[in-house]
Parts: sequence; structure tokens; C-alpha cells
Amino acid sequence: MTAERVLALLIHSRSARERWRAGTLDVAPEVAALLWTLDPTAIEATAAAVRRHVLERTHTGVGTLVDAFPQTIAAWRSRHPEDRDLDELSAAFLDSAAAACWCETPGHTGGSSLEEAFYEFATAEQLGEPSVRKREWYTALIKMLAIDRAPTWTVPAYVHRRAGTTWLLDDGDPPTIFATVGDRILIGPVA
Amino acid sequence: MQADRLAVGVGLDLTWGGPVGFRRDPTRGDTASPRLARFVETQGAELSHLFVSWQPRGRGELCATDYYAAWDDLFARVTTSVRALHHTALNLGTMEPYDRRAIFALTNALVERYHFAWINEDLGLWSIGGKPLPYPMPPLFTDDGLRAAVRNVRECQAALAVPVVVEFPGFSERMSPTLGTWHAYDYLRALCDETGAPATLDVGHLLSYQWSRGRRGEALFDDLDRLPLEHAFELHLAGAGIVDGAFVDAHHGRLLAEQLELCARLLARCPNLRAVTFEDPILDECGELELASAHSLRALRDVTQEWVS
Repeated sequence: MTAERVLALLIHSRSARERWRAGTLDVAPEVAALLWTLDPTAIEATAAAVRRHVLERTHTGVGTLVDAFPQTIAAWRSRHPEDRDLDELSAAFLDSAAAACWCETPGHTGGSSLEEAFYEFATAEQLGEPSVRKREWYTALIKMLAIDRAPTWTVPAYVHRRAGTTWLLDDGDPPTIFATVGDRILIGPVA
Repeated sequence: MQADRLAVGVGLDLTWGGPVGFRRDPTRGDTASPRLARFVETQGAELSHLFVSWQPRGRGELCATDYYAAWDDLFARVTTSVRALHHTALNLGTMEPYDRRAIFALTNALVERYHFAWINEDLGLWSIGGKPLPYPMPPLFTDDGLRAAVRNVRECQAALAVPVVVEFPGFSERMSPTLGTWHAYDYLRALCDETGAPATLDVGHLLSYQWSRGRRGEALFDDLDRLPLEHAFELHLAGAGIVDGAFVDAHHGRLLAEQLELCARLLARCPNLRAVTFEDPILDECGELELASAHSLRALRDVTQEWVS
């Protein structure tokens, strides 16, 4: 792992920072020789800013993660009433395998959207009712697709796109369709 | 690049959905926000130059035409003749592979359409590990980091239609972890010597670096000779403050006395300096400068008066 990737890991991953402080972070000798120049206070301050940024980051059409997943995050709050500012939620998310798939750099394609990564994290953590969680994710997803017709993030395979229309189906009870029709979003039960 | 000295200009970070930025409107077409529109219409002629910061419109593939409605609306109102672009996606500090082809295509289209005279970009990382950062991080201050930054700047110089001006990075709120042992002033000088790139010295960024190294008082102005003074093309000044003992690059329109002092010292020491820019003044609902921003701009004009003349 290069020095820059180690820096990214330290900023995003709480468990990596713990291993670094304990002297057990597995890095190449040439990178280890550089890490002594890092100020742990600066790493912690940057990591804290990134945690806030993840929660406050607003995307057109869907808002923040808190806007997009209100009931899923309410389930987290119920489980962790001490986490008033959701800092622990953000830390747990950023430390997860799901967050590692999140990629958001202008001009670059591939990777998960922030919302998909959070949904996968919430699913792994079994946050809230699965049907509610999935509905929140599908709602965010169709809004995102209405805004960005050619997204740089990887569109999930269960999204269908044809002739200017995009749709996906939640096979719950009742089955629900999420679609874009022109500039409009359609969400409703399938009769 | 302009051959003559410019007086004081303004730089604006234009966010999508922000009070000073752009509004998305799929029906009528995107527009400049009312505050922004009013400001550039009423005060643009008093500015020697104007730069705008590029911010992505969304998370879609980069396409210049997606920006034309909003930027056309803005630049139809701009009466400032000299314009520049502040980039936020070149990631000049990265050591990792970073595909800039789509960014170059978009940028050159914007340069051609809006007649930007130069492109300014921080020598740092706007994203790391594929994830955006809340505040750009400095490059890796190692020999390998410098070699990578030189490669990145050269790539941008070759691909972009106008000069790339490399800005000294900020060290705000202890959010700028530094890896490596290079002094940041030496690092920028070495990069400019290697690439021939002109430099932007952001006065707050310089102070924040010295502050992060424990310098206070007169010692904040130490080491200026280590900077690429011959390469300095532009000075930036953005509102800053000290909060809980940390230097904050706040962009809130209020300049510190130390920023004006450092500006004065640099004006006297940078022989090729062309522009001084007040970044991100705060605009009220009428698009007028808020009181503190107006005061800062007046103070900056006072400091630069002799240099301009």
C-alpha cells in the first residue's frame, strides 16, 4: 500500500487509526518510515471533519444521508441514544466494507454512490425494518437517477433503463414501482 | 497571461444551491443565484478581475454543456473584463493514478466559452482514496510526492489551454496532516522551478502553515525567501480567524491584520506579481458586500494602492 493510500485509510478508518496507534498497522517499511512525521492530532481532526462531512454532504435531489434515510437512522438512534450527533454512526459507516466501495471523484466512473454504500452498511448492521430501509434506498436511487442521467457511480443491476425511462421494482407487499418519466418521479404500488 | 498589473479583484466559490452560486432549474434552465447576479452586475466593473471556482453540478459524467445555462446566465451579467477559473478537481498533489481527461475536456470548453485567462489550482488533494475531502489536504511532502506533483502539473500544463497557476495549500483547523519532511515553502519553490509554473500565494494559507508549525507574532512572517517569489503571479486573501487556538481558513470575509501585513511584505518582494484577489467576500441578500467584507476590501485596496500605481 502506498503512503497516500495509508493516509486515506487513516483518515477514513477508525480501526486503522487504532492499529496505527498500537503500532500494529501493517504497512511497507518505506511507508512506516514516513509515518513518524504524521501528527496524530491532525489525523484525528481530519478524520472528525470527514465524519461530519459524510453526514452533512448534500446531493441535489436527495439531500444528506440523514434526509435520505430518516427511519433507518432513527433505528440507529434508538439503538445508540448516546450518539446524539451521529458521530459514532459516521465512524462505523466509514470503517465498514460498504464504505470502502464509495467513490465520488469528478470525472471518474465506477464505485458505489454514497447512498448505496450507506444502504449496504445499514443492511449489514440490520438497522430498522428491511422493507423500510429498502424503500428509503430505492426512493433515493430513483431521485439520483432523475438528476444524473449518466451517473459516474455504478448503477445497480436491478435498475432498468429503456427509451428515456428508468425504473426498478420493489417486490415487497405491495410491490412498488420507482420510476422516472421525463423529469418526473413516479413511486407507487403496482396494481 | 496579463502583462500589466491588475488591481484588486474578487474570487467567488460558486456552489450549486448555495446563496452565492447557481440554481438548478430543469424547466427554464439553470441560472445564477440572485445575490450572485446582482453582485456581478452592480460591482463587477469596479473589479480588476474576477475568478470563479468550479464546483461539480452533480454526480454525472462531466459534460461542458451541462454548465452552459448557468454559466451563460452568469457571464452575460459579468462586466469584469479579466476572468480566471479556480479549479477544484485537478488533484495536483496526488501520487495515485488520476484520470484527468474528462476534466481537461470540460475545463478547456469553459475556458474557450468564458475567456478565462488562467486556471488556478491548489497544490493539494481535493479527494483521497476516491472520496471527497471537506478541506483540501496538502501534498505528500516527500521526494516521491514532489516528483508526482511535478508530473501532475506538467500534465495539466500540456493539456489545458491557458496557464496553470499553482496555489500554496492551506493548513486549516489542524485538518492538514502532513506526511514527509519537506518545508512547504521549499516544496512549492522546487515545484515551480521544475515546471516553470506561476504560483498563487494565498496569504492565509501561508500564515496557517507557519501557525501549524508553532510560529506566532513576527515569526509568522519568517522564511519568505524560501517561497518562489519570482514565480508569484497572484496573491489570494480570504477571511480567516483564530478559533480555540487553531488557524481557521474560514472564508468569512474578515481579513486578519496579519494577512494585510503579509500581503504588504509580499507585494514588495514578488517582482512578477500581477493580481491580488479577495476571495469569497460575503454578499447580503441584495448582492452587496456585507459590512465586514466591504471593510476588508477597502483595507486591501489601501494596502495595494501604491503597488497598483
